[in-house]
Amino acid sequence: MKSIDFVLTHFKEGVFDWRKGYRAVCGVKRRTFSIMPWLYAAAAIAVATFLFWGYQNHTTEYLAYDVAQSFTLPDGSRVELQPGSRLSLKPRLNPRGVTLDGTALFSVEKMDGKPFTVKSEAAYVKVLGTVFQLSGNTLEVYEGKVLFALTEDSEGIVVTAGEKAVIRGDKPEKTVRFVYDDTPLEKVLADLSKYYGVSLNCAKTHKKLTAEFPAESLEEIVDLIEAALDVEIEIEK
Amino acid sequence: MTRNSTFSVFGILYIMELEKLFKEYYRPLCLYALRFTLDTDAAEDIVQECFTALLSHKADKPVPYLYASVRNRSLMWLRSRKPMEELPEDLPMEDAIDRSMEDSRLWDAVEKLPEQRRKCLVMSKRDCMSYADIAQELGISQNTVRNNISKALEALRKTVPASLDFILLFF
Repeated sequence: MKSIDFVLTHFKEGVFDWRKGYRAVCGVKRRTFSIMPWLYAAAAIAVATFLFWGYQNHTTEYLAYDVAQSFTLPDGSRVELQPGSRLSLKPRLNPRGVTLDGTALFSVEKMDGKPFTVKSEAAYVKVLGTVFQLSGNTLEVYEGKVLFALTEDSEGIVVTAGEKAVIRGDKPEKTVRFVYDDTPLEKVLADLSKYYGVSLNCAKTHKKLTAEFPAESLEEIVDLIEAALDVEIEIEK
Repeated sequence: MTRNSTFSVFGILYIMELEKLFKEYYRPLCLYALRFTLDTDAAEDIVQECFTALLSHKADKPVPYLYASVRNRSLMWLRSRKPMEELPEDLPMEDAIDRSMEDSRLWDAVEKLPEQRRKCLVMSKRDCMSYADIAQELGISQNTVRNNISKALEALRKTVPASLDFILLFF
């Protein structure tokens, strides 16, 4: 009997369905099986992602306990960690991005287009190639230029060699040093009045001062001058 | 089936292989059995029994095993049901496989026909109803019935182009 006659003579709807046959023979719904390879694939992807993440996230830590320690970082930069300080970086993710807890002196190798960054609790520093020291929220630059900010995203200032800067409140600010060599007290008081926005007066303005002090607390500076020159200074705000 | 519930890579490969076997050969095997039994329910039962048997023995070549097993069981079924009848002519295994594949492709094609065309064709060829009876049953004109049947046969001819069967149908 020819195929067409045979098939048309016996045709019935809904019979000879392999899915029904499979279910009848194996006694389980097909879906249970076809989902299994997907489960395996999903598990494999999860494991691979976890391993890759772990690999990328590998962290190297540098520590100085009771004495200062020098280290060469993966990019060739040198760092001198002060006692009790800790430095960490992720060499596979970014060998030129370090996190600092404490005080460290950096000598950064220049690398084209790749800035070196230091993050700490209190400050954020971005440089190309310099020597500088970061201690808590205070930065001191010895060579080159440094961008200094509170965090990676906040506005920063450029600090150049020989300058010092500090985070005051949440803004970076350069620290000014007053240096005097046999200078008349009149000029010293004028400088300080201008810097701090006050009016300083003294009866004995002929005296001369030789001193060097950072621009920090005005009261401390005034006390210092009073003690050194044996004078009395009046502060008018 | 205990072998399928094991959580192993081999278990999964085995299941996928088994699924593939069902997908490719279940219907052809059913049609092979139907050639002997001429009874769809019996054919389907026989094929399921053969697959069940395959699961308990490991066969290196499952396809020839399944065909041979379907043939034996079909003949056994025939002998128990109709002992006086002559056994149908027996094809060599390869030809039998080819023929069952062609039957299966045609069966698929009939299944895929639009519903009304399929109904007209099946009523005419299987149930030997006249065009007038079909037209009355389906509430359509005789012309539509004729049209439906010729379009259905056209579609089936595309499935098996080299076949001469159709010439006979168009007498």
